[in-house]
Amino acid sequence: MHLFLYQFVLFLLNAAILLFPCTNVLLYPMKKKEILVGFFSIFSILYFLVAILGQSTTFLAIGGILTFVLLYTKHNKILNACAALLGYLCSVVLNHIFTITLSMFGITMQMIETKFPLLFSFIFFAAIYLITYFIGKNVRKIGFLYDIKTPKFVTICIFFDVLICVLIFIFNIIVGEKVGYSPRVIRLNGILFFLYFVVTFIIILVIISNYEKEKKVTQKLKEYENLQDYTNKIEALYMELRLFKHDYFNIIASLHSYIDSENMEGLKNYFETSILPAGEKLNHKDGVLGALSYMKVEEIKGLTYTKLFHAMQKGIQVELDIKEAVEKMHIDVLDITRILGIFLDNAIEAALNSEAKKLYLGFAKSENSVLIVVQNSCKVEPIDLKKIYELGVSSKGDNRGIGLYQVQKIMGKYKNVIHTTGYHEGMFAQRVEIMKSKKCT
Amino acid sequence: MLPIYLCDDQKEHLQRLSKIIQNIITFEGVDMELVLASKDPDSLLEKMKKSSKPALYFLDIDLKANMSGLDLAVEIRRFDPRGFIVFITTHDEMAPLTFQYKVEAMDYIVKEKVEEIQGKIKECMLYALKQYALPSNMVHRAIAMQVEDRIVMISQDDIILVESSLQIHKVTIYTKDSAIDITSSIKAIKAQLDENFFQCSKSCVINIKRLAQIDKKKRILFMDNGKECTISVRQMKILEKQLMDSDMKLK
Repeated sequence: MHLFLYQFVLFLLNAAILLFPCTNVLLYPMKKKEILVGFFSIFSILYFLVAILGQSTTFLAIGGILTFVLLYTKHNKILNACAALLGYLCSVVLNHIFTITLSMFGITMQMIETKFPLLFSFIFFAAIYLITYFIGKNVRKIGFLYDIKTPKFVTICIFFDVLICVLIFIFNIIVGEKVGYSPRVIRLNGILFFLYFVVTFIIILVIISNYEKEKKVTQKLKEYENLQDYTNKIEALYMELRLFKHDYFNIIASLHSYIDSENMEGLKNYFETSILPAGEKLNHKDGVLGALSYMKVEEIKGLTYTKLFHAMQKGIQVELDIKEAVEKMHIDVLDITRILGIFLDNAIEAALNSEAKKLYLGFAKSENSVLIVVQNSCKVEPIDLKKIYELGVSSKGDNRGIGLYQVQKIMGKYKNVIHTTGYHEGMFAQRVEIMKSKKCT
Repeated sequence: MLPIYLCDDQKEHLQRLSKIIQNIITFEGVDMELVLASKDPDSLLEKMKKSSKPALYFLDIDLKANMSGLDLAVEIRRFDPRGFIVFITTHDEMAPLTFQYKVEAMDYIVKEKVEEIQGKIKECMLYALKQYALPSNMVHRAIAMQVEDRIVMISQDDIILVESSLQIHKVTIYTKDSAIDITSSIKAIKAQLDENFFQCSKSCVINIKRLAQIDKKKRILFMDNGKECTISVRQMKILEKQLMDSDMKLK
């Protein structure tokens, strides 16, 4: 009975050692309930099949973990699976470090396995859990990892590369078990695997950074196109102004004729029906584009122009409210560009689905702060303001939820930001106030 | 008596607006006085600095002077934080957000909408007078949070629920139609709230007045904006007792 319990605990620990390093480093963490289900499945695989299959069960267990990750991840499945495998590799590397260190003190694996496997497993579990927990926590903070959109083919290649690395390793353990562990073999294996691990990792990083570079180039190209668009628009506006100048003299001439004939009634009529509306029309047209000249942060200017132009083309009534030069944002420009991009995308989408089709973007500043307001008309529907931010929950498809979840993550980095989400009379509003941080200055 | 100041660079416009304001004062019999109507922002500043009373200001945005209407308003705000500022602007210069954010302008009047000007001026005057007469103790019923140099005030009556945010060191404050994410802590906010608020858990404080329904079995509180919040067995008992007590008081 004692032995049974002993074995049971050992298997529990082994299942935990297999599973938790993988789940800890996931980019999109799984829920507690899901992890629990995974844990018991892995445990049962180990417990019931080890007697029949020996060490090969590890293959099965890894397969099981991958299946779970693929099953429960909603977005970027393959990337998440890669993360799980890398988590497992971390555990492998640590295992080697452990055995090598112990062998230096003359303690071999066989001694451990016969004398105190439970203690060893427990210490190892604690170490790997803490390490991977720490790695996962920090990796999840790296924003750009979530933006990786490598072509599917590349992602799958990376996945298989990591998978093969893991499989070869498990295979190696099995063979090692049959031949018997010798410290020198273990050391050699450890170094080989560590090298392989490092090389794989570097290759992945190179591929990703290359891809990022390429993305930046296309981004720049797009910005350039935006600018060209902008120039064309300005030129068109200038032409319009010249036409108006021409019209202006015609108007003066016609006014003159009314005054000459002292036709006050006709003059009044002409003024109200022709001149006033013409003026208003002119005002509105250059208002939207002209105001952008106040935005001195180039990245935001480009983004705003593109998004607003896009919205106008789709028939949304756009209002841009900015009347003072905005030079500084007090937070990282890339972060605020991403936030604003997400807000505008959502606002345009929601405005299109609404009846009023209105979009409002306002920038204002005071001495020590900047305020950004994005408003859009939306279908009247009670929205739980909190839920929008929880991953995956969205009133419009999956991507929207992800976007706002990202916004929350970015905002979390800054203490000097007040973010208000509001809904008032058919208008949904995002309000971000950024204070000048004392630390920055 | 609420003083009124007017500043516009165009002589004809200045006269027209003065006349409109004078007429409204006479016809409505309101306790106001047009103290100054001037083209020169400096003379306005000089005059208003001598007075300690809050006032109503109608300011043209484009003053064609060494300062714009907005600059003038910023300067006025420094000496008269409780005053009421109304901008007179053309369509081109209109920037509601900047007006509101920078100097907490009460309203703006668009020059082009000739037929609306008179009505709008009257509206602003009556509103300012009403606000002016309001007791100033409203401020005490608000909570204040400081983020860097800025102090944000939220009226206690508007708050439905406060809970710790998903982001570290931040809280989310729910009002009727908005959710505000701000750097603060439940503890710091609870300390400012009055007896109408109840702490359900470490991470959640509710306004008892805004409680709509209680699910005793599942221990869930439903607020009147549709927000839910769970409560522990122990806190539930305390809340029930508190609710009973306040009922007794009412009777």
